[in-house]
Amino acid sequence: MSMKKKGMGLLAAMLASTALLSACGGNENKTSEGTGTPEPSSTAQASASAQSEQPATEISILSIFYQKEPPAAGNEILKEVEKRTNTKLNITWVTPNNFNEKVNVTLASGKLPDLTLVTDTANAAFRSMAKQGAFWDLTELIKDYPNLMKFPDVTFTNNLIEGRLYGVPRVRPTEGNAQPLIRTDWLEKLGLSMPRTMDELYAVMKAFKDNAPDGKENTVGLSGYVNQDNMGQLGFIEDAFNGTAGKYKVVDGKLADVTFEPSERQALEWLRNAYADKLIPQDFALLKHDQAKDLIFSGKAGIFPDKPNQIPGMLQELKKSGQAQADLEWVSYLEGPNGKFASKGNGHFGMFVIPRNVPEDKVKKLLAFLDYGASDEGHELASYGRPGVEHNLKDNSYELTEKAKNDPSFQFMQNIFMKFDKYANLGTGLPADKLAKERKLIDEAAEVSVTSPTNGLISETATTSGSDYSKKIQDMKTKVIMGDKKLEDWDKFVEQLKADKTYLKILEEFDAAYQARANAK
Amino acid sequence: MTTLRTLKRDLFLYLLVLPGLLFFLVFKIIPMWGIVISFKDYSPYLGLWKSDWVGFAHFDRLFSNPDFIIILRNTLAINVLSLLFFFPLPIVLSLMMNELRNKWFKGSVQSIIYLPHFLSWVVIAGISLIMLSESEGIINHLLAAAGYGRIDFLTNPDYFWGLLTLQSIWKEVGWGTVIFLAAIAGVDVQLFEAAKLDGAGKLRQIWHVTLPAIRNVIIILLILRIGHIMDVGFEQVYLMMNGAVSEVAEVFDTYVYRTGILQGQFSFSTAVGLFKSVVGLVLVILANRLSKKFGEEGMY
Amino acid sequence: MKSNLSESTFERWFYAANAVILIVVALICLFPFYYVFVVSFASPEEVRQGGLLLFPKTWTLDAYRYLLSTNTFLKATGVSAFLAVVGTFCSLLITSMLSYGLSRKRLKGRRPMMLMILLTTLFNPGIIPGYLVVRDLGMINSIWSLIIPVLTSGWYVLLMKGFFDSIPASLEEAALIDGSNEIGVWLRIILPLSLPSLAAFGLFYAVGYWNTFFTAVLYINTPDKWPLQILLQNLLIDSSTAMGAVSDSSLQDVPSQSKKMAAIIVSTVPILLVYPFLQKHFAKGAMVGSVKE
Repeated sequence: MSMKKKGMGLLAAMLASTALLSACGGNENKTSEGTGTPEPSSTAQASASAQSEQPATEISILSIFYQKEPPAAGNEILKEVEKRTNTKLNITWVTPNNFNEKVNVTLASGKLPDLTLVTDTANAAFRSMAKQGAFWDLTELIKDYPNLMKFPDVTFTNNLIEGRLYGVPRVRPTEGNAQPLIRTDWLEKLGLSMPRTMDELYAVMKAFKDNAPDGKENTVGLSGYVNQDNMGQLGFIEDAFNGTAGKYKVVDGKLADVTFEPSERQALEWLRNAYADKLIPQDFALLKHDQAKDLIFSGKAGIFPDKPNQIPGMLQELKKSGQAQADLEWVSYLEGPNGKFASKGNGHFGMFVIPRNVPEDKVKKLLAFLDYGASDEGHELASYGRPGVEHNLKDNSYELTEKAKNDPSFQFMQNIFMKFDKYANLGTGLPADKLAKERKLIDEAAEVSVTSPTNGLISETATTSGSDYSKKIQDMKTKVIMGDKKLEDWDKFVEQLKADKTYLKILEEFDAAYQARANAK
Repeated sequence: MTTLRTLKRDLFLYLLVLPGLLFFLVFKIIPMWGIVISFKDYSPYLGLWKSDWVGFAHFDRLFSNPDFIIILRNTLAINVLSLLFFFPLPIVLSLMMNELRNKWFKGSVQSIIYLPHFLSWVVIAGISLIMLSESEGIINHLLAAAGYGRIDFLTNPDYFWGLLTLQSIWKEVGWGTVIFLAAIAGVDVQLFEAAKLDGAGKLRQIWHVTLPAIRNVIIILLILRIGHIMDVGFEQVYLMMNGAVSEVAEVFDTYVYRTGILQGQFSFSTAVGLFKSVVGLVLVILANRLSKKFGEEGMY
Repeated sequence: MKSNLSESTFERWFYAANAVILIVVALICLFPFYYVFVVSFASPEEVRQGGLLLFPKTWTLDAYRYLLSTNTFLKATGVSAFLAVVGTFCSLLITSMLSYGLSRKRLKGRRPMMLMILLTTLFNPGIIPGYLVVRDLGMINSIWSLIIPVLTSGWYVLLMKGFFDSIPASLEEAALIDGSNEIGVWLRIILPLSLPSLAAFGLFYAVGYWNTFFTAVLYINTPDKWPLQILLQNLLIDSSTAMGAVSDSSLQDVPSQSKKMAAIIVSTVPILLVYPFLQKHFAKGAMVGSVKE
């Protein structure tokens, strides 16, 4: 305990000096808007308040991080964030492994940090807590924060729990999802053009297999895998046939289960043929993500469904494997029997909740803090650091300094600070002409993209038995594709599902929730 | 009087067990209240006491699942195979290693067979795929080259249980010898010498001296193991499971992971855990009785 | 005489066959580890070519450089080493005390005690109640939260008791009559006699503490107290293989096989180095006799 206190004292001293510096520097501070009376003072604030008018707000945060390591105490960018937002941050960084367990025990302990990240917002326990009033209802409050309000509608809609918003979403781009990345150099070599329809895609896969442009034995056209309860990386094929993302689509204003649609059967037939023709890995049911991806790197597959932001990294790996001529392009949409299709993301990756026992004044400060993170300035600081120190501007693009490149915790603040950027799913460091081309692809996709209509909706029955059905359906699909079962078996299976009352109840409940949300607008 | 005197005499003994008992009380017994949530609709916000009682609803859900029997069958089958084929192997291996006379050789063998224990299931699963995949696996390449047909080791439901058992043996058999080697090391050498003087051969020495000396440890381990007959190493099954083998692969642990843990349904997960524990307890009581009947010390 | 001769022929065959079988077993066990070792030094490109890699064309330390590139590597290794040393010592102490006590028939109430301990091996209340106990004891974010809540387990206590059972009560009685006190008997006779089992359990505990991961995720909030496993796993997040990891493809890279394998080597080799020191205690069978005299 005493150790901890000593550390706090040290931090307080550091903070006081930071506050002093910032007061002298006359920093542009956006947090002043919408703040209330000062917090009850602690030692840190007492010393800080002597220097500046607004004492620094102490904020505790529980967040995930994807850097090599979290920032060390006294990290300069962290200090800069504190300075610019007039806060004193106490962040618990949690590794993505077992993040949910950490959140669960934290929720159960009743002592939540001011901002707690919940990544799985569909989780039943979390939803019941929200409904029971564990967190601040931000539906109205958030409207005062212009940068947060720049998040697209889907980001908010998908995070509503019975029409209310219980946290600040971590915004994510909606366009640019896992769709085929195709070796365009192979296409050129074989005199083919980018496929636009499912038949064309099939033809390209077949050409890749038959001609093995890399001269590798056992070349397959497309690499991918399935998960235990969904089609995994092969999902876009199903989606392109069904014309919707995921399991449900909207038909005449009502939800329909694509499992019952003829287009699903067509998708299975397509995949079944592809498997029989050895155009997809014969191990697709066993492969994990990186194993499937490795087939691309070793030149044994020419197509892999993924986000366009993977392209630069993949090209680098291909180059290392002696394929400098390799080039990849993201397919912006594919045309199936239901028209053009591109997948639209749900626009978020979890949200930060604020426990109910935080006073309203502080809630506003917390929102202001996150609002700064969603501003251009906050975004720049989180993603590229400070000008002249971590980055230099060159031809309108950011060039990271050596210092930034060697910092194992660089960009740590991105885990908390996000702004909405439509093109954020494109890779970084692209040459200008390529970037322009890829941006066009994103725009193309945006015109036709469809999101899953059940995003953010809940069905009690789905919570308890949905995963059982998902798994059974996926088992059947896997067997049909592998040829262990016939398409007629699929038909029979679908008939059984159509007669299964529990299964139908899931659709009914989702439809009711969907209608409720549609009518509320 | 006498109790007081024995208490005084054995005071040291009681002091010895006190910290350990305190540990179990605080960290193992007190948290047991958490099991109550299997009869409640637990919400972390309301906490344990305020959450609503739901009686046996979670157990109802478990037992009324049409796949319950299949899950039970898979769980038991995998464990019975493990008890039959995996459990005795470390004992046999320890006995064999004990007969090695070259110390250096013995030490090397010991160190090497511990190695697979330190590999995660992810790695073992990866190696299994490299070896056994139908289209790309080494063994199938060899089979094909030798003119035999390829075998779908990883996607054929008939092989799945055997595959899991072999993997477990591969990973853990060496590590399993640690405990038995320690037990054998504690055997009084005078007993061996006496047996030798009586003209007992190698195998008879093992049978009449070594095995009886480590019998106690074997029985304790066996009973503990039987108590966990409803547990299957989650990670291993989860990694090896695929659409083609799922009807023989689903076990309680994968089922709870998917329907309880991933969905944030603490109460249901705990209820399934409780069910498994009760079955384990019944079996342990039976096994303990049985071992006492055969004149063994038993667990309690 | 004749039977003696045939016996020795048999024995010679016995030893030879035994050695051959064990060599085969050892090779089978060595293989996966060898594979991991080789891949950790191979270039990711070569690994991706697929198939079985037995000897890479180029050896590279890239994967190890990556793992060592964080500022906290040494510190995290220090934390894990501390846990392995101090934790193992504390665990052995408390486990041997309790199991020895339980193995003595003169201890009153040993049956209910053992039953209680047995129950704890069967019933598992989940992680939340355990977390609350640790919190209420004020141990959150203390390094002791990685030792004290996992000091011992029912399995180990009951198993170790099985070892102590084989030490006859007559041995201590004799020593007591000779004038030693109880503490002296325990320290000077019982513990030395139990060296093989102490070595075995020490190995179990040391491996367990060295690999501390999950308790640290739950109980530790500041990176300066993270054990090595958290650091390593964090460098290798891979949604498709790490169970329960939250993956966010817009913020993370997929780590190469080489890095993953290097992490296994880094986290395994130190514990393997400890092993030879413990190993010599496995071969001490002569003690019982010598003490008796």
